[in-house]
Amino acid sequence: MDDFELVQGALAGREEDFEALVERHQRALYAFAFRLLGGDAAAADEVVQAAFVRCYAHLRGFRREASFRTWLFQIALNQCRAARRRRPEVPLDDVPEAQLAVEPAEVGWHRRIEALVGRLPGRQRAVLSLRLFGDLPFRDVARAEGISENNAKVSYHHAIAKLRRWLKEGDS
Amino acid sequence: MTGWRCRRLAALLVDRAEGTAAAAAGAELDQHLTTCADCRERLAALRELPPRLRALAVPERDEAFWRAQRQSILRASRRLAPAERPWAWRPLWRGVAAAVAAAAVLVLVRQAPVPSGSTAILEDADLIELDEIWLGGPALLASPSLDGMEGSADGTTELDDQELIRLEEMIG
Repeated sequence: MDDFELVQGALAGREEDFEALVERHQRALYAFAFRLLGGDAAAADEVVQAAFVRCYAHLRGFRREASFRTWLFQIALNQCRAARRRRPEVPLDDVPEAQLAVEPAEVGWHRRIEALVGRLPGRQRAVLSLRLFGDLPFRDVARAEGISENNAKVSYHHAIAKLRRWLKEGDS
Repeated sequence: MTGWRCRRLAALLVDRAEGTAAAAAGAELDQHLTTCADCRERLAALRELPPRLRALAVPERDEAFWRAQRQSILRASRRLAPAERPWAWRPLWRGVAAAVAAAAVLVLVRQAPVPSGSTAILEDADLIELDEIWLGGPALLASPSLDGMEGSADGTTELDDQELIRLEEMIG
């Protein structure tokens, strides 16, 4: 069964259909939230649960204009934003450059990238995460962010350029 | 990004990196790349970084974790039981009244002077929660690009029963 059929089943009261939707998407959603929240596993778990419950509560509002996956990731993105608002971090732009370069040498590539992605400005982090970690096409990324597809690509471009620059500065 | 042409071609550079650039636009980009070292570097980063970012490790979870997560989601969802609810017929005044009440509380709480040494009526977390109820999170759905997804997870006037209960508890 495809996602839409499972949604119809869940709306008809078949819990097993909703469970199938959860099972199908929970891992990708968890990976998405984990990376978007800078590697906070507990927060990622909470976000996944909250996103699915919220999705279930509003299941009747789901239309087929976007895929269920895009819709779900939109909800998760909002939950991540709410989680980040509760635990605000200083954007990297506000951190003195010298401080960034002093990344502890023992911190591995993954930890370093996670930290840098976590500190990208909100829009860029969201676009990058939806594209790379959510594996959404730019059309859906743009829809989720309420911007044009062109703007989504430009934000993505800036995010990658920033990461490249910060990594270079860290290496020098 | 150094010049107006670099900015204009930013989205196209992303398409080129992902192998989706339209042939018609390719010639201008090719010509620009022969003269712009910065864009050549950016293109290289757009090709090189995403695969490495996608490879960021997410902690391995065993099946018990996913099952427990599903169970937790289902338990919370059962309490909502959307299939049993006539969402489409929910009287509008409930949502509007709750939204107005939430706005009034926000205004009163944020304007009222708090005597030194005393505790505010609402903690920051409550204010954030009220914000989320009132605003439905970031204004994603204000975007016309989300037409057809009305009533989705972040509907601004659609409050479910749990949210109403939480709101009433906060308002006291």
